[in-house]
Amino acid sequence: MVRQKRRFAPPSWNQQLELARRHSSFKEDLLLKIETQDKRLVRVQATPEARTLYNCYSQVMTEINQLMNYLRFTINPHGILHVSYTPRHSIEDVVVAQFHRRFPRFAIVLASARGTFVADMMTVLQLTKPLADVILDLENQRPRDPFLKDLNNTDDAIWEAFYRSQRRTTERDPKRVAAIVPKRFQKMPSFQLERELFAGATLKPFLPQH
Amino acid sequence: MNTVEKIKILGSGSKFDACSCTPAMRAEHGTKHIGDTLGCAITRSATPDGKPISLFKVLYSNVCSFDCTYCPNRTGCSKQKTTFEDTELAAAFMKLYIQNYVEGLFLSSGVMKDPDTTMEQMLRSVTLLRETYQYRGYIHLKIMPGTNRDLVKQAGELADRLSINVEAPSQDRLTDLSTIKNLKIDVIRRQRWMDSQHIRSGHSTQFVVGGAGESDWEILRMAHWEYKNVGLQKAYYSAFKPVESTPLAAKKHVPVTREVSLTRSDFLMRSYKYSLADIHGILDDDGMLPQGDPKFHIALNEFDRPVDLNDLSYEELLRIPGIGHISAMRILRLQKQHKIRSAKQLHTMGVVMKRARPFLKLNGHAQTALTRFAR
Ligand code: SF4
Repeated sequence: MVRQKRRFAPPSWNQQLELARRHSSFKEDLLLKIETQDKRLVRVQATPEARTLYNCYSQVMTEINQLMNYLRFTINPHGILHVSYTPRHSIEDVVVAQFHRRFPRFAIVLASARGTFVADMMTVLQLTKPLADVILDLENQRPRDPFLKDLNNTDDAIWEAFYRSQRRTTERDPKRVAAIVPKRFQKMPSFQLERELFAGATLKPFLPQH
Repeated sequence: MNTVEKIKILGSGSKFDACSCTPAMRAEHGTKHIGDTLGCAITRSATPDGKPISLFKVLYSNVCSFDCTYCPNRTGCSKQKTTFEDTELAAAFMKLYIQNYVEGLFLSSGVMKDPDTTMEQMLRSVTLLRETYQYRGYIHLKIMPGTNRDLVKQAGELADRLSINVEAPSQDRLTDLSTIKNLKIDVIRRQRWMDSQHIRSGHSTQFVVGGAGESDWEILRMAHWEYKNVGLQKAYYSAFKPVESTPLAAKKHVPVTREVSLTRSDFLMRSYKYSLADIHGILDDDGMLPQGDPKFHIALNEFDRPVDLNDLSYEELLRIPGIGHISAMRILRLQKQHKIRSAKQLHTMGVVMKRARPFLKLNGHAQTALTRFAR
């Protein structure tokens, strides 16, 4: 039997550079220095500058992945999924585009301090209007989506019931939790239930480290 | 009983099932489908004690006619019993998926009337998701032991991953846990059928660690056999925990550190191609793994003196603690052009020096006392 290959192609140098440039502390000087260095060393990140560039790229990638994991949408009956959050790096357009690929029938809206980013009909826009106005505009353009009719938006009882059902103990292990859900995401309004339960549980007694 | 009540009961019934979301390639074109399996996302949340949550993990029903001694769903158990309706399961899951609370669905069940009837009902639910809701995201389906071949085939076409639990490493051990299940016929035969199918993320299994008093060696030997002979993609290890109102309620729980050691050793066999003999070399007289990282213990057995990594092949590099696939590849690419001389250079290439340093000779120098270092 031939099993489908599951390897994803690693990003090219230009793709890495494009993402590294989105880092909040990226400086173009870094590139000038790297251009003067031995290409073989740069390729394996064996110079401090090449390493810094790689770190910028990987931190941007990490934040994109984190947003894909932890942003939780509000469902609008007109087929609009929206959320407010300001990432550290300038990645809002990448994130809305990725979500739109996952949910092509819905418009994705992410409001951040840099603007309101919309992905709809395979196009990404950066708008200066506030989230409420953007949603109003989209509602006028999009009819109600019959698919969303049965998915009650205001009620988080399903998540609460499921989340509570998965607790194995009443103990807490904040370090492991923070390794899974970084603290700044735990502060988002949509993580309120988790925050309450993280705080309410008792601290785990010391276990031998493994 | 309403949907929320059912989720409380059926979610809780599946919390000891181990699973993770494994991205699978599936090209989707069009504008009407919902979801994909390419997401880089692994977890969506965590329980307060640090268990990741990525999938909507529920039982279809907790009614069961089998008699597994560790299981609260077993026949005759007084727990409240319930079963999902297809539409309520699909609607609840889709709501959580669209809001991005979960990455996919994990659906298991008790064996209601018989394995085939149960499997048919589970498949109806999954078909509803795939066809009516146009859901293209991740689905992990549990196969009931003893299910017929056609239903296993249908499940493989609808799901991204299938699994069937081995539970114990031999028939003798399994008999201690269940008088009904037959390892060879009900489980391994189904695994062979799954192996002969094209399942996007393959099939997995789970062991109840310590439930039948077996050793780590017995479990790893069985897992190794399964990797080689039935095309197993991944084995999960779940430390036995006594559950009230089951025959094993009075039995002592198995420490979670044992589950961690088995998972790490399994990873070495799967991803780093360590042999069973490598693992056997670090076991104690009772066939149990030592505390700490098995890769470190194997390296202690293997390297009697520090080595110069400029002379090592890819496979040899991988056997040094602190060096993984990516850093080994980088070292190899640099080896051809330059001699690697400094720890700093290795650190920038992603080597975990705290773990690797005791095994390395750099620029002719080595640290002396291996065992002084953290495991
Ligand atoms: S088959 Fe065994 S483990 Fe599975 S639900 Fe039934 S009693 Fe529990």
